[in-house]
Amino acid sequence: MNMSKHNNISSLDQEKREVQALFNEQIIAQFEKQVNSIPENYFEQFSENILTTIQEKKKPSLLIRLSKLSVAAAILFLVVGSYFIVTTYYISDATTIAIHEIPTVEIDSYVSNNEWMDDAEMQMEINHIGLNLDVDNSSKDSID
Amino acid sequence: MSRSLSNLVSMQSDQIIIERFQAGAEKEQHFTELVKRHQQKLYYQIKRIVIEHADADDIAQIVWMKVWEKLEGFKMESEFSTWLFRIGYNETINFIQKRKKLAIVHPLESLDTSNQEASTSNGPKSSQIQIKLDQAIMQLPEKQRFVFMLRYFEELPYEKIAQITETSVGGAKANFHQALKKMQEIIQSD
Repeated sequence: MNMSKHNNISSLDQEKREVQALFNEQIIAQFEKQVNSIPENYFEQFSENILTTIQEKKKPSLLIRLSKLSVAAAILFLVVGSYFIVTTYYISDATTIAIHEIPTVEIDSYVSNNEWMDDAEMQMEINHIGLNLDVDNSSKDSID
Repeated sequence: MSRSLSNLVSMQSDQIIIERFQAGAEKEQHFTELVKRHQQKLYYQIKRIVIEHADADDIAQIVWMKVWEKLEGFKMESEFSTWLFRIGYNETINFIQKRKKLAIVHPLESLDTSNQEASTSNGPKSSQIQIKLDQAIMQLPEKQRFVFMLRYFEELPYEKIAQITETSVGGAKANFHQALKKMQEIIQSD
């Protein structure tokens, strides 16, 4: 352990000497000075700044909150719109009542008013087939 | 936070602070302690590579944000500082590569040393060498630059440098010597 530490230090010294032979120490010190120049109180405020950023990240951003709000509004609009369309166009057109709710008088009146239609339809069918019901009846009479 | 508690926290090892953080008690306080302990080394490690304070500050903030997010799952298989510097290394490399993609040239990379006037008390020659040193460092591939800085300025053993840069010890040594050779070539080119 100590041996490897010693080797590390001696190789580090050797490497440092190689670098310093390339750039003199003053130049390297100048580079370090440049690296070390930081705004005043930078490190004193850094941890506070980081914590503030973390707290801000925890809160959803205004854009996310707005987009959530707009999604909720869109869903609400769809639900209300669909309800409005269904109640206006479908339910009103398809108003139905049960048969027992219709008064008997109305049913009788409907049937009697439409009885002639049944008769007319029957006559049309007979004409179409070409049956002569009167002839048949007369032959029956003749047998008697 | 009371003064005595603050003193107690500052005497603890990184490991104890991380365990407390992971236990969920007063996370902000323990995180702040870690930041205070390691912020300077991390910042200078980054700044030696990117040179500009604003860039170093941006990267350092990203690194600490990552630490906050990932500290919960840190298994302490390596030292906290090694893990932190590895995140710093990766984020700095990402930053440089993004800048390259955007074709943003660092001011030091575009300096023409032949036209530089002497501006320091050291006279024209040292000023030019100073610029050459900056330029030489900026012209090194990112990994070599990192290894050179960690070895020369941070005086880290190659084992730790290898862990930070995710390479072998031999690879780290080779990177240092290649960096030195390349800088020598740049210096002697004029």
